[in-house]
Amino acid sequence: MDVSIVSPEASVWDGEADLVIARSPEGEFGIMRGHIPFLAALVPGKVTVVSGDSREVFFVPGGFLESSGSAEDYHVIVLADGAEAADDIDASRARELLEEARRKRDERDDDAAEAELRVAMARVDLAEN
Amino acid sequence: MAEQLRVVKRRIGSVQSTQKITRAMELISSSRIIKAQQRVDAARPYAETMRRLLVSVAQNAGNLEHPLLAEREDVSTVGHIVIGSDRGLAGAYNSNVLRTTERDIAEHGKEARLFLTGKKAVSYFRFRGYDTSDSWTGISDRPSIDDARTVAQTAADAFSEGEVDQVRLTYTKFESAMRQSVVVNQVLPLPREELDGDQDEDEGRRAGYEFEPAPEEILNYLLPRYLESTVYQALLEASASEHAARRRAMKAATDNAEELLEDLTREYNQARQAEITTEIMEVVGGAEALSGASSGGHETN
Repeated sequence: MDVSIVSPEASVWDGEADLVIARSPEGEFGIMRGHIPFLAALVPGKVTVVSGDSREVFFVPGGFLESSGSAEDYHVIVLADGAEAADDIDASRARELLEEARRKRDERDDDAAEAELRVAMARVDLAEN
Repeated sequence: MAEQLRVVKRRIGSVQSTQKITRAMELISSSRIIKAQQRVDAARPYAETMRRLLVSVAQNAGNLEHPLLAEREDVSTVGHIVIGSDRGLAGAYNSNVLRTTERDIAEHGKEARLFLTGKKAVSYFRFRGYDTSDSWTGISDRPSIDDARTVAQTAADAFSEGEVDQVRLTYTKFESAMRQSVVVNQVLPLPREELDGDQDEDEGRRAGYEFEPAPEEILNYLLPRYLESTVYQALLEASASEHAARRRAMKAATDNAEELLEDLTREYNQARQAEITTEIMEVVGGAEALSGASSGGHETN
């Protein structure tokens, strides 16, 4: 099936794959060819694209996943708020950003700061594992 | 005479150096149009998919009640997001956007609250006595999605908190390198027509999605992102339009300088010729006077 990961600024990844794993507010899910048309909101965390023996792992701070099509012509589109390859994340830099996000949340305890903190936490989590 | 020659020569020099600058700016703008256009193209897949998702979610949501969709019966304050540029020398680019906004404000006859991008927009409205506290500069050259988010969120917050009852967006749409036009769209509350989609989408998308979480909840995530994407597209198109307008203005300036140089060169040549003629006259006159004097002397001798 055809998989594309798109951020507002550019297309991040495009290719053929067998399975896409991502996480919605209701939990982790996987999509394979022929899944019934599916539309999910994504929470901060990883999106894994599996193709044969190879896996591509991306971090997304949020976004949507849509999949539909026939068995022969099936597609998955990840509409990410931003996306980066997991290998590109620098763990120590990610921890610094987490500390910064914590301080910010302590200063002004609003929804936006809380959301940023959750993104930073998920990012560190991914970088360390 | 020699004085006039010097003056013309100096003017030629100054026009030439101005022309060098305008030609350089024209070339820079040309290359920036291309880059800006590439960014518009790169952002299109996201924007288009976003719109398609919004349509399918809206069609599947049982009740379409969301604060960002709710028309207010009593509109007292209208928010205007205005996209201008930081730098001038772009012909009528800024004045077109700013005048259109002013006309739009006047037509609505409501209290206006401004969300401005670009130094030119800020100084224009500040001079006219508007509150310009919601303004962003330094982004028009190369807008990023983060810039768009900040602008969109500020406007959405003002709308949610009831400070404004409607938000409109004024920017310059990039139709082609030769053609750009100012457009004004209502962005909040999001017009219902945008949720309807066209016939094709209708048929294809009713197929029945499984939603996670429920469509009403997905709408909560989707609507703010949609607004950000709309503002981002507008910023990118405006940026491409700005470079196109500047290129045109600088090309006109360069051509103008060329014409001016031709006139000045002609003037210079005439002045130079006149000076040479005068000099010859003087030499000839002097020689005649001398030969007249010497032959006269000879005769007397």
